[in-house]
Amino acid sequence: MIRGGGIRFIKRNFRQLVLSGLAAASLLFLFVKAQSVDSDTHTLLASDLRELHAQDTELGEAALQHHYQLFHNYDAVTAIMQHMRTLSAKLPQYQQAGVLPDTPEVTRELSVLHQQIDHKAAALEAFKSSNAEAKTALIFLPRVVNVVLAQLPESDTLRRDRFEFLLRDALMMTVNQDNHAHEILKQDIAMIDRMIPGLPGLAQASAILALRHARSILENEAGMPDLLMQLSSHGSNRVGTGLEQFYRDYYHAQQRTAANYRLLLLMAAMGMLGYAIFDYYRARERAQQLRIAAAAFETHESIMIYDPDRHIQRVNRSFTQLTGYSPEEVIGKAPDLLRSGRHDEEFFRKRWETIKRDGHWEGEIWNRRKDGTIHPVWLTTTAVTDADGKVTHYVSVLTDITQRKEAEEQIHQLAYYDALTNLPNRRLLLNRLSHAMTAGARSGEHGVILFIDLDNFKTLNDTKGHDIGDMLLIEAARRLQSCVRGGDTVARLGGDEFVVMLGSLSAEAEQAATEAKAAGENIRESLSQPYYLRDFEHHSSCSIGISLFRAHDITVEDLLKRADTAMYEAKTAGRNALRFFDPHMQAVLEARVILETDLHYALSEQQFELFFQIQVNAANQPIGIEALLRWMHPTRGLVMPAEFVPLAEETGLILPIGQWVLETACAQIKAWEMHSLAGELQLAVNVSARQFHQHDFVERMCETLKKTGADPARLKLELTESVVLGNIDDTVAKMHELKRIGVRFSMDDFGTGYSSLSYLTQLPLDQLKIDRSFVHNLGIKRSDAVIVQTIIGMAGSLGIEVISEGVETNEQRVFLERAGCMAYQGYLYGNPAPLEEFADMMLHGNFSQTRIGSQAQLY
Amino acid sequence: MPVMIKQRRRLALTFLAMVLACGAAFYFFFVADPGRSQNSSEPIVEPGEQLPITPIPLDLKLDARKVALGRRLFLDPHFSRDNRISCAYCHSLATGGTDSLPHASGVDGRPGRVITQTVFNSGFSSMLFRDGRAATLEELIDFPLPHSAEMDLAWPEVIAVLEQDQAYRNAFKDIYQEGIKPHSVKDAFATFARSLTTPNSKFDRYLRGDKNALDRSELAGYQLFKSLGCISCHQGANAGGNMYEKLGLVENYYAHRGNVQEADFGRYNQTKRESDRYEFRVPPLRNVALSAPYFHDASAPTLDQAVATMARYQLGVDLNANETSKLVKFLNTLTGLYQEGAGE
Repeated sequence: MIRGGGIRFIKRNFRQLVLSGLAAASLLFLFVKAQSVDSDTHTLLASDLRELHAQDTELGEAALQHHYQLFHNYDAVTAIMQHMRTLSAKLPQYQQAGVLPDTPEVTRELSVLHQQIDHKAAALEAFKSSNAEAKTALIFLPRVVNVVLAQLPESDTLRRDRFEFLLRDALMMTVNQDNHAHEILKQDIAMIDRMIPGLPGLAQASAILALRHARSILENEAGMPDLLMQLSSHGSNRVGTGLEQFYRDYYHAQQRTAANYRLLLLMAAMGMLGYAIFDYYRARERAQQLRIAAAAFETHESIMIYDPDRHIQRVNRSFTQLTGYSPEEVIGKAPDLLRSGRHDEEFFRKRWETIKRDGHWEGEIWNRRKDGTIHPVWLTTTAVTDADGKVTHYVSVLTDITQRKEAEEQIHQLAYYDALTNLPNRRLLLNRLSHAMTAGARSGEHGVILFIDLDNFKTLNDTKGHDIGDMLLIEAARRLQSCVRGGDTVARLGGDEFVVMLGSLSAEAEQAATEAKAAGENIRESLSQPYYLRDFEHHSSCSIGISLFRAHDITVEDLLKRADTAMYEAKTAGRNALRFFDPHMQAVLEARVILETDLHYALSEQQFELFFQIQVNAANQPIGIEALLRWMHPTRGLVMPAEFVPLAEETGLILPIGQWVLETACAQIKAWEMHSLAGELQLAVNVSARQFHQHDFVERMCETLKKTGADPARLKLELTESVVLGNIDDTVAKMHELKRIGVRFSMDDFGTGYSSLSYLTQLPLDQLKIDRSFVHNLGIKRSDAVIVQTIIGMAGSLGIEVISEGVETNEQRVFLERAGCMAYQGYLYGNPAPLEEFADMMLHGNFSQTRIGSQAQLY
Repeated sequence: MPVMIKQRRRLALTFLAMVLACGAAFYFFFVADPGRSQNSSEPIVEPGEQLPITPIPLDLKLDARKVALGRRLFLDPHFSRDNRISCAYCHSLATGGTDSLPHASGVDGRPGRVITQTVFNSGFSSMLFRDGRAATLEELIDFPLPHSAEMDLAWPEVIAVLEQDQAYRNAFKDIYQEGIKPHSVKDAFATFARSLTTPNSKFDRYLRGDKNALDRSELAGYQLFKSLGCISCHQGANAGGNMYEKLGLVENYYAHRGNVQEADFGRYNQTKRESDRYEFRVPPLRNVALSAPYFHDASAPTLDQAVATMARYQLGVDLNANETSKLVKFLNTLTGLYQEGAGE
């Protein structure tokens, strides 16, 4: 598989290999021991011993046979003896070969055997000589006896018989060597010996010779039984009896030992067989486990297994899917090929420390795919150890957490960033403010926040739609970001409100303020540049409130509130402005908060009141009345609508308040029905945009009229341009419905907003009301005079009445009259007055005088 | 699935181990019975022929290559200190296998103590030399070789002489795995010596059933040989040579001859047993007519004389001329024919 795999295999399985070797060696040992009796050499030895005995027996029998034969041939017995010598000479070789043990006992038995053979050989030689001598004598004796007998007369039977007896008894002696035969022959010899001197001369020599041969027979035959006994193979004369006995015992002992070893070998074999069966089932069990493990291995988690030398050994399919590496590409290589380079060596060093200490590590890590892309992975590495606790493998499980990371990122984005502009949101801003404060506490440097509100954004949103408004916000956000440094924060709080946070300003408050102002001016300048939104150019401005901070001298919430206050101040100051927070501003802010609280109770406490102002024509005759809302605050006194209506609109209180205004106005119309003058005039009532766009506004109006019994024809509703712009179709529809029952409409504050001819022609208006700002500038600002003239001209061509409000001087009235405006409202004709006062004025018919007089007094 | 393959391999090994274990058990319990494989014992040698003298076998069954090599060794004079004395120097095959001298003559002409004996038919003898000091021809060669009065060479010298000769080296290499070693030299020599037989003597032909092989006087000589008791000692294939007997059984030979020497003690010199004093191997009578002079001391120059001496000292009789003549005639029928290459 891999180079050096063999050596690694031996290293890893060293103990098993040694155990296997020992098992094999013990089996071999038993095998050799069980074989210790070499059957071949044993057979040879046994055969040699048997043959030795056979020859021994043969020798004894042959000797006996030779003894009883007259003629004989010793070749055979000599050969037998030679054979026995050869056989006995071979026996020491068995001792050398180990068939016979090399013990003194065996050596002794062998030497005994050799002595026995030597003894037998000597006995055989003695036998051959004796037997030959005896037989020669026996053959020769009759011839000599015949010579003697030939010398003796026939009558000498006594002496003849003696020689006959000698011959007979010598023959008997060769057949029967007992004492009796021996004694008889001996007596024969003695008697003849005594006879010899008496024998004839010629016979004497032969008789002596005969006796000599007879004695030879006697002597040789006398020793014969003993020699034959020595040559026989019976009893103690049996050659090699001791050795044979010893060897038989020894062989049997060897056999028993070998049998024992065979039994041991069988037991070992049986044991191994049992183990093999056990192992077979265990292996089957393990195979099952391995199959399960293999199935589990192919999970959706990526798995990588590598050895302590950091060679990857296995990976699963998920690994290939995750990393792009196929098993062939990574097996044998180091896991380092997955490194992204995003982590330093210290990271890996700590990681390995943990693995070595705990056997386990898990954490987030950046890996590199085969295609080079880097992705986050949750990596769990576990060390696998063998029975000795030595690490054999590492298993790394890799989980792709790209999606999780992305989700986290997204959640973070959602939680801390504004979806539209991708700017930090309020929450993140608060975080960063805290951090900046902490940083400022260390450095002593100032920080600043700029609270930015786009001017007239609401109008743009209302007129061009939210998508255009969004485009403006996105562009404003972009410009804000381009105005700040890297470490600064631009956040969107919501709507058209942005906050810019700058850090690291000077430690000197004044210097810091200067820097903040410069930054604010820069932003204001940037946001004032024209915007190109889709197809048209838009001009916008912003109001900026600035608040400095240093360390934790103020809470984050208060800081924001201060900046908001400053911004509000800037806005109040006429927009497109920049204001620093100051304590007075704070007081106003707090007052406003109190006012808001009080407003909640104003309606129920009946603190509202309607004031009335007269409208006149060129002939100074009253032509109408406008109802104006006033708040009679219990402690602050009279509060003007400009102060509390925006608050009411913000809080939603405008709806009940507006309803109250309508009901009170209608009730007044009804009250004035019988009045000689007022009963002729129309009453104009202001309706806020929010009120008008209630879905049931028409129904409520009708119900109010019905409830109060007021004549709809005497009611004139004054709408602002913002009412119309909110939803022109709805506005037009509602206006038509109300016009059908006789209600009339006037466009209030005309010229200040986004007045355009297009909607002016669609609306069923009865009157345009020129805003007091234009009237105020008549004779001061030429352009406004032109606007006034244009409005009057336009209204004339559309057949709509025109009325000017805020007419305060006669010059203004003259100019307006000349321009063609024949209706007026203002101090010149009468201040807004409470009901009793107004009724009183009407009763006396002295509006104009009073006002003109008072006007005159002013000049 | 490498896991599965490994698993299967493991099962296969386990199975193999089981088979081996079963096989080992089977082998030991059913096959390896040490008592089973037995060589049938060699046939027991039958006792000797009823005939006192048996004919010399015609068929020798010897390895011809060894005989040829042995002949070269036998004839090679380099087997001696002076490069002059070969085996054949004393045991001339042309003169009955002896030198016909009373005493042998060795290297540098040094004299031997006893008479040279014939090499013919020595293979049938189990006793070599007159005192029987060698039982086999292989043993025999160790006596003349180092003897100062014979060849006077030690074995390393013999091997060195042979190693110098390319022909010897090849011949030994062909026949003997061990090459030129004392054992192989002895074997070659002994094999050749065993080929030196003299079959087909008149008497052998008679023994084999040719009743006309002997004439009347020769047959009478054989009868006399038996009736005198000579046959008791001179029996066997070699008509002697298979037992020891004293010279002078009835009459004292040395008393008459005088000048008793150590060489006369015979077998005593070998065994140092008093009973063996003056005992000599009974001389084989094959080719006896060709091996004069006779007796260990070469005291009888003719066969007639030797026969008379034997009758005188062993039986105590003086044979008449007729008897001696018959016996000598009979003894002459024991002369066989050596054919070089016979039995090869």
